[in-house]
Amino acid sequence: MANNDKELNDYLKGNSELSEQYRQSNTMEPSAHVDKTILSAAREEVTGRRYRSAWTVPVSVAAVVTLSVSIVLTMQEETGQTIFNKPETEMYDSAILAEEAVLQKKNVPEKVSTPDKIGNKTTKDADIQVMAPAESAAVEGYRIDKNEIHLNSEVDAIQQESQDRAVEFSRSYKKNDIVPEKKRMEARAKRKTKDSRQTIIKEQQLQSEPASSPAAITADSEYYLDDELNENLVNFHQQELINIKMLWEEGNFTDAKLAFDEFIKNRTDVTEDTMVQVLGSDVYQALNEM
Amino acid sequence: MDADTLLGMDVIESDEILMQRYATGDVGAFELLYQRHKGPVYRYMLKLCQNEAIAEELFQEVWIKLIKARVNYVASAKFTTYLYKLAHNLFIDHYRKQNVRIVIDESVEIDNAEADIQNGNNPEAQTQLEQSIDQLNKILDELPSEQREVFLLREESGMTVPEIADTIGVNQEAVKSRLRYAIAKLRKGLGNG
Repeated sequence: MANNDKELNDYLKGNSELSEQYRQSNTMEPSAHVDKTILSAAREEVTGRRYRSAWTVPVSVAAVVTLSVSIVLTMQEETGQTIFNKPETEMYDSAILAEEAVLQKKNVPEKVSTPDKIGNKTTKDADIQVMAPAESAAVEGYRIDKNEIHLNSEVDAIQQESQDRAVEFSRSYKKNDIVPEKKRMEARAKRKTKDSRQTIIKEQQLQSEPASSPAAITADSEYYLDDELNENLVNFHQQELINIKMLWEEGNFTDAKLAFDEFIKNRTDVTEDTMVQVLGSDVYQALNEM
Repeated sequence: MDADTLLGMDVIESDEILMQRYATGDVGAFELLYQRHKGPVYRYMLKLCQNEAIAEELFQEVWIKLIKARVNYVASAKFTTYLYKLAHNLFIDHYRKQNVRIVIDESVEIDNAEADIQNGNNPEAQTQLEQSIDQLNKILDELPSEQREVFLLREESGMTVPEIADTIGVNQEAVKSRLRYAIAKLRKGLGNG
């Protein structure tokens, strides 16, 4: 024990061989990464910034990316469309903006189905040509669509009116009360100076081409040059022929023949070509041969 | 050249003053403290844990705790005692949490001892070897942790017996006893005993 105490006291004096050997053999130090981390933490503690470990930034970036992708995918799933791919919407918006800009600049009314508006068509086309190809195409399509909707509604109205008059005519014919209506229409026809044949052909062209091209817009505008009386007369003649054709197709050949003869007798201004176009060549020929 | 000379300081400031300066926001004072004590504290941890990764982790925790406690630091005791007390407590906490790991380390020690016997590396044979340094570390690692710790505190920090007793929370006689056994085993292992 006394020997151990002597060893301990010698050792505690600090000059022992044991201490010398230990100090020579142990010189390990922490890594540079640990040094940097600790010194940064000490600095940030003083400057008030929060201490962050080496993984803070990578984990934060990964979290932000994951969250962003999740939000985008969720939005796509909910809306059912691709968020970053909407060229149709953008083109439609551009077309509307361009159209509104042109209309505002030229102070042109919105409808293009009147003669005045058609008269400005050349100017509008020039404006569209100045635009980018995609925009001008969009504007043209947008304008044609608008005209088509407008013309279709007009044609529907005319057809409805013609059908109503055809029903009235049929009833009058069956009651042998066709004369008053006939005389009334003849009086209107006398005031009409324009060739009704041309008008009928144009109306038929309008029906066969439902305003899907600029040519249709032109035909439509010329059609609206006719006055209401001419329009009604043409419709009446045409509807009479249609009614005769319906009687024929229903098998009422006698009634069809009687109506046809009456029509020939009283409608001397309706040409043979017009009747052939409406009735069809076979029906027209059969009615003549009966 | 030590850190103080590098910074051109003629008078070496005490650890306590440097710590007080850091408490007032002087980051340079902390850097000086760190340069002085990083090696000893790291080796203390490394020898205690006998695992480099764990030693680095605990070493980093010691300094982070010191940084966080800068405002509350009172120079009522020696700074070295304060610093190593932090290190000692962290090691004890780690030891309590990692019982399984300690058991594994002990089994490694047993395996190493058996290998030494098979290779004829008993302590008497080692007296003939010139590389007694490696043998010293080996014997040091085989010491009971209580004896190893007091020896490390004495060698790395230069603490006196009362300071070691204060740091690890035991009386001075216990420190002397542990230190006495450690020195005897090391000398015997190196062939000096």
